[in-house]
Amino acid sequence: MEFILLLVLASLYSISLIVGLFKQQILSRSVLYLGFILHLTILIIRSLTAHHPPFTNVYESLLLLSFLMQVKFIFFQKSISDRVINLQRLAVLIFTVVLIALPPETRTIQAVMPALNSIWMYIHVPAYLFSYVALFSGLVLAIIRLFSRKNIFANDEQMDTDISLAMIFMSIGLVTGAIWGQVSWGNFWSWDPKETWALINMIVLSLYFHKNDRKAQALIVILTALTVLFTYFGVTWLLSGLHSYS
Amino acid sequence: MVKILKTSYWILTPAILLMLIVASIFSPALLTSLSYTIIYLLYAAFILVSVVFVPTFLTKILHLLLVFMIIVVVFVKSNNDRYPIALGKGGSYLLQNENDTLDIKLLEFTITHDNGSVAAVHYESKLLIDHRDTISVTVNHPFKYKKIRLYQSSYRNMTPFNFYSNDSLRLFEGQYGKLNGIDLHFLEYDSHLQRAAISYNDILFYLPVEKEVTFLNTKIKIIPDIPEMGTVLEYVEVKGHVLLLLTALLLLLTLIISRLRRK
Repeated sequence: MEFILLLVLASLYSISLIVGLFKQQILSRSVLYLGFILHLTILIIRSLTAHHPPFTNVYESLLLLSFLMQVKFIFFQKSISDRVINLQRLAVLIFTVVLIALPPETRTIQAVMPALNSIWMYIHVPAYLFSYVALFSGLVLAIIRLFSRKNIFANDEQMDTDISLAMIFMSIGLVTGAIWGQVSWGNFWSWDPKETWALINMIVLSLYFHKNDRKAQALIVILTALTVLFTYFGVTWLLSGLHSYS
Repeated sequence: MVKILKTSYWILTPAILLMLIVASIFSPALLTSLSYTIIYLLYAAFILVSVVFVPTFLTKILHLLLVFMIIVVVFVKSNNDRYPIALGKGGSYLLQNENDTLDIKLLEFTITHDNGSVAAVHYESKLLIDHRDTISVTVNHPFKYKKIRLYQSSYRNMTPFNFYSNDSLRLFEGQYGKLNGIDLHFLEYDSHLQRAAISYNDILFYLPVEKEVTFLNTKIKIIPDIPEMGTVLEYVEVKGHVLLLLTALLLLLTLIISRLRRK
């Protein structure tokens, strides 16, 4: 049932994007809102069925992340060009397609493992999700910046805000994760692959604040997004460790 | 000075990133090696110096946070003693450090499974501490006593061994017991050589399993029993919290100095 809803969601987001490309913004927005409501419904159904918030594994966190990205793109941004809007819609659509492409077993609702039964989960995981939302929002602007000949000051300003937010939330996520590690395993830091890559993400992103050249900054954002994607998928499935469940 | 720092930053940071990426994928053991630790500390020192020169308050805080994290990681990793303790029901273990000794005995280990699945949603070790107090250790809720911490780590099947002589005795690895009035400590079972390591009066004996042998002038036979679920706890001795607090204060002081310098 959830899979069918996901297919419908991807279809709605695709229609919204295609219609948007043909400059039919009112129709595109209407379809997008419909998709947004469906996305919220899937999240609510999932949470109620599982009896836990939807961020205890890759599938759930990706479902929530794409929803939060949509919230950010719809409700929290200044007036921007159609090009940016289309790219934002494409970004959410890609995440939705990835959700569909994930192995079916990742969609199975499972009980929360004991280590995740902690108040820190409600701080650590959302902090990272917020940071990823800000990062991917910045990524859209970075791609536009890299391939655009014009300098759009509003976009650059928005990119700075997004990346600063991403950095702040990433730092909160890393610190709260270390504290949670101490509470759960008696160790602030274990050099677990996920921890190491979380640190790599943060160091790569920190390069952004040491460059004044906008093109170079855009490249750094793209590089960070790639390392974050590796942390999200690559580390989870290729490198085993304490965070193998997430 | 600022130019030198900037140039160094653009050399050091990609180098550190490359080191971390290569080690995390190909050789995780390198991440905790001495050479890497020295490089982390050098990088921390470099970041600390640059705090004075970076422009905004936010970047100063982020720099200091990174320095503090590197120090915590290096210090805690090299300073905290930790090892696993596997106990079957009735099994006991003597925890010892410089200042404290604590006898722990597993009274009961319970696993709660999710309805209709094999996934464990909760597991709990009920322990008797120093033959007096009963406590419970679960994931995220360790037992704390002075500098000693006991964490619920995992669980596994463990084989109890029956010791038959004039008396009989059932022991898990690591457990103490009294056989024919003699205090024994069953250290471990070597499955390869099929022998049990027994300590008596601090003398180590290796006795073959499933064979009758003479031990301290008495016939004894050790037979493995059906395995049962036991707990795995993680012992951690906490050290250096005061030093870490001092480091945090020192970093805060750096932040204040760099702010004053700017004004």
